[in-house]
Amino acid sequence: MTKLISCGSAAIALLAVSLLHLPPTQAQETPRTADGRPDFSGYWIPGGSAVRIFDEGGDVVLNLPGRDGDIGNFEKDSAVLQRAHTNKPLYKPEYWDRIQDLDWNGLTADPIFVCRPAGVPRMGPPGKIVQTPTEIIFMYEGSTNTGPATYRVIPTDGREHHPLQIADTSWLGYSIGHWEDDTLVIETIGFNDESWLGWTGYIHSWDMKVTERMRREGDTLHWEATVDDTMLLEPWTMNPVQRVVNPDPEAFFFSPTPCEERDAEHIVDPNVRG
Amino acid sequence: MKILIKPYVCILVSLLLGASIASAHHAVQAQFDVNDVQTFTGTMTKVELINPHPYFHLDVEMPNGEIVNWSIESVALNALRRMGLLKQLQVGLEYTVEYNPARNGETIGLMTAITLPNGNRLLMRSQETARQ
Repeated sequence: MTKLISCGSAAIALLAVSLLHLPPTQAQETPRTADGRPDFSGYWIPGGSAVRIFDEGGDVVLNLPGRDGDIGNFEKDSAVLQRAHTNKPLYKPEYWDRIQDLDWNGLTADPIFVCRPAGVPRMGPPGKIVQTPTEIIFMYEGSTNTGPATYRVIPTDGREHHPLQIADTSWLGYSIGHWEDDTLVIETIGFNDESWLGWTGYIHSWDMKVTERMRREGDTLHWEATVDDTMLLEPWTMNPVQRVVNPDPEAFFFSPTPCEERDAEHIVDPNVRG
Repeated sequence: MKILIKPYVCILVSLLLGASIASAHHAVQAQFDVNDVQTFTGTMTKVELINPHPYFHLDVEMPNGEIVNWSIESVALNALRRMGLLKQLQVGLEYTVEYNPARNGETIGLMTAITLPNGNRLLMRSQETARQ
């Protein structure tokens, strides 16, 4: 009999799954680097809706979350939940018509729909972090939500933004980090005006400045980002995101894959969003 | 005993979905009839392992004897990778595909299950009673 999934380490698997659903805990001691900073190095597992893969008598089952056991509800609920968020960026009135149009008609206008990067801050916290005394490196495996695999090199040695970075326009911007006690504060500028802040057509200008704040408490990573932009009435702080460290010593990223959008020409109802 | 998925992969339960509120590339209901599941058996002619969705192309013999090439869209590539199944999907081999048909009548489907030549079945389904 062919064994499709051998989970000899089922207990570890259950632990990992459990970590995804447990509230953040401070029970574990926060690892620190030789210079006394919290150590963010490692792989970090996204929280939220977990896709589970398991063996069922020789079949491989990919279990997608969906209300009432209906896969179709995954995207229906996603759309409702995203529109129902009370924490929204507040735009100046001259942008309201454009935002509303993008919300209702912007499926193919969404950069990540057509394989563009999600950009900072939409891509959220990284899946892997490498930390040195003078810089911290964020790596992203790439997904439907974060866009293509990418990385960010963030100096923490006290430098300021280079004039060429200030003059540039880019998807990820240019980041400089500094420490405020145990919080890593990352300030990013040099953005293009093509990325969105969210699924519902939240646009921004070249003037955007993003400030990310990141803490590690035990095995939990806390990440939040605040957006300053001339299009907004006031700075907007995104909903915070938490991740847990991957306990697997053999964790890895799958190799990056090219992206080609094929669905747009076949979509019957572009107002159905998910 | 052939092991297609190594034990350590079991703890990589993540994830198509990266954010606390997950979204998809697009709502599949906009393109496919998710309430209709159809089945065919065909021969793989092309495998495209790309993002945001892999595509499998299969020649299928229709009831009138005509051979029609179908394009089947899959869940995200990294989900297939986490199942350790990519090398089970080969041009020239025969597969049975269960799919939601395209709403516009094209020979395109959204794969809900595929039966491999060795008889094992890869199945996408939902068992969650509530979102987390």
